[in-house]
Amino acid sequence: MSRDHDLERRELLKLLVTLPVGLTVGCQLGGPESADRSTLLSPEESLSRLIQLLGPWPEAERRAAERFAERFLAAPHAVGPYLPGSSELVQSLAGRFPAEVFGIQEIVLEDLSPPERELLLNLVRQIYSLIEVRFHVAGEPAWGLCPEDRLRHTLAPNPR
Amino acid sequence: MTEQIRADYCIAGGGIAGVILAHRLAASGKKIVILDQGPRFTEVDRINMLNESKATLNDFADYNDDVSAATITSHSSATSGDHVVEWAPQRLFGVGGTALHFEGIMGRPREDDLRVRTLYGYGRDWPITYAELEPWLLEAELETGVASADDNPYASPRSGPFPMPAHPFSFYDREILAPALARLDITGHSCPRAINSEPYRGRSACRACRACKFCPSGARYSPDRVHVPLLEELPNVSIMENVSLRRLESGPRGDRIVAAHATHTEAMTPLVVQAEQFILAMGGVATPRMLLLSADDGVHREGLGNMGGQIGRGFSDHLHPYVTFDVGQAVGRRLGFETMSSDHFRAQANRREEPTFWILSSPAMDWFPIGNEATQWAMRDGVLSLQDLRDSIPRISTLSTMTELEGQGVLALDDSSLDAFGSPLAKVTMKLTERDRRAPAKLAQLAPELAEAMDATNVSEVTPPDFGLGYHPSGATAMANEPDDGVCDPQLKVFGLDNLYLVSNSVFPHMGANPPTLTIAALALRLAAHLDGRAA
Repeated sequence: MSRDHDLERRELLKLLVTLPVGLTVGCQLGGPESADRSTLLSPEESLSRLIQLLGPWPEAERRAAERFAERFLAAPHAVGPYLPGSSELVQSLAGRFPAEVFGIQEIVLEDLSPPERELLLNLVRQIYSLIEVRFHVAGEPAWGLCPEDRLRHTLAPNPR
Repeated sequence: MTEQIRADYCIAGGGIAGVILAHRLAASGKKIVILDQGPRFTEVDRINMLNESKATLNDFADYNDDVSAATITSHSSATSGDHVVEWAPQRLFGVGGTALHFEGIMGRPREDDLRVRTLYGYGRDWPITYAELEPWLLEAELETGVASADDNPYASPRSGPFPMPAHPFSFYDREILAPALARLDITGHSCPRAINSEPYRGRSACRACRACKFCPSGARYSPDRVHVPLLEELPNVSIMENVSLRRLESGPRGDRIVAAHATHTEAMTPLVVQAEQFILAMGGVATPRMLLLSADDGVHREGLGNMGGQIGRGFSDHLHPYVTFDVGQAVGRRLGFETMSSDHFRAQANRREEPTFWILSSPAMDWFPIGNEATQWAMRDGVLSLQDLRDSIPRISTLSTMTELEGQGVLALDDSSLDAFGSPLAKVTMKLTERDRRAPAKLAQLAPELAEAMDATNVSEVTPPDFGLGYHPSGATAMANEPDDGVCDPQLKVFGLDNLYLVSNSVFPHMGANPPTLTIAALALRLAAHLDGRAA
């Protein structure tokens, strides 16, 4: 095992310490081969992985996350800041995370390189500025769909 | 071969001004031709745009996204020098104009907005009074269907009720915003909206689908859904889409317009309209540009109605600086638009020193990139808590302002930049004065006070003071009593030309902190009455 790889793995572990137990990511950590496999992801697969990690969808909503990522990748205005210009950075960042993790709760930013940190934060800002994501998080009906009660904006919100 | 059309009235521009004017004039039975550079959008187009917007995650999808350069006339903008800022038009080309996608805010000017020079020493006075304008404002409210209530303590007098009751205040307005404003001695009141709060003239009440730009229910006024269908039923009215007016031609003596020269933008074939009266209703940029493009070798060497050198002077707009709050509690559901606003800073400002502004607040609005603030607030000690971020989204509200400017901008032709037909673009130099910059500064002072009054846990910085420029271009062909002070007279007739009229926000000598749409509609109704009387 190379020194660089070992360092990368330690950083990955440190990152995952902050993951919630509820997401049971520990069993998906795997050994070095897990990271190796990550590095084989294409830029598009890597960005998809980042989106499902950072987005609001739990694993039970995997299909919604995947559909969102597909549309994100197909939209030039959305994907433009990342691919193809920052493909390597996207791959490197995605490689720090295990596959099959959804809706990560925390990230230790100081464990990321400055370019990785900047890219990750930009992606988070972008995802959570989108109407679809915000409405999903807030429990709003989809944009353009009329709710049954047109005066629901007058009601006190349900306690979360 | 050039297509030739004869009409009594030739109206250039099928936006809210043009179609409301045409609708009133049509009763006379006279022949009316409306030319619009953009297409006639259909309901299917709207559904497709909404679906496309969702499919492509494009929250900013809009009506002109897929049209050609011949449809959209771009602009050029000066960007250098002190307090000169980039200006980007948000206008829309299509039958219905910019009101196709407007927010439906139908605020009136205040009485003193029309007398700022006399009362406060800045800007330009209107040559008509609020009392003269008021009946037309009321009629415009009826015509477009404005929902509001008589609960605004800062409002100027009105001679009749709103045609519809206000939209009920949201939970956020009622339980969070209004009490916080009250702690600062500010009254929140209904926000007048051309969005039906109940069925009105055959259109549905708002159904809270929160996609107001496309308004699937049809509750928001849009010219193409209300007045254009009525016009399309009339044998004496012809609405010609995808026709770009290129220039107006004056007669040998220079005192009348004899022809409008246009081009079909799809076939690129010429069209000439001869009419008794010509009306430019092309909005705040294209109207002054057309007067400049129509300069000739005769008496109009500097452009039509420009004997006083006034075209392009006094160009103005609104600033829309805003702040974002994490209110610390769930703000409730969204309606898609603000139900509460406040004219407090329009009425209570020291106008000799500082500009007025209108405030509106609601659970975070569609197009506000609240992910920026939410992400910033979710970072602590080198850790980004995405869970905190997600938890904060339902607690976020935004407060935006609509801020009056002094009106020191300039619009001119830019011979170095040409449109798809080879004509110079309009070049806008948007100058902000020290006075203009005091509004964002005042908002920066207000924001933390309001945050404290709301028990908010976070409040953002004020976004850049030039944010939002381009929504309400106005003032570049002002109405005035004399050609040395403006381009058209109080009846909106262009100085020096007997049969050319203007109706758009370009005729505003000064624009207060209210959106211009209601006033534009009012001026169109007033002009129709004038032309009808003249015709009789």
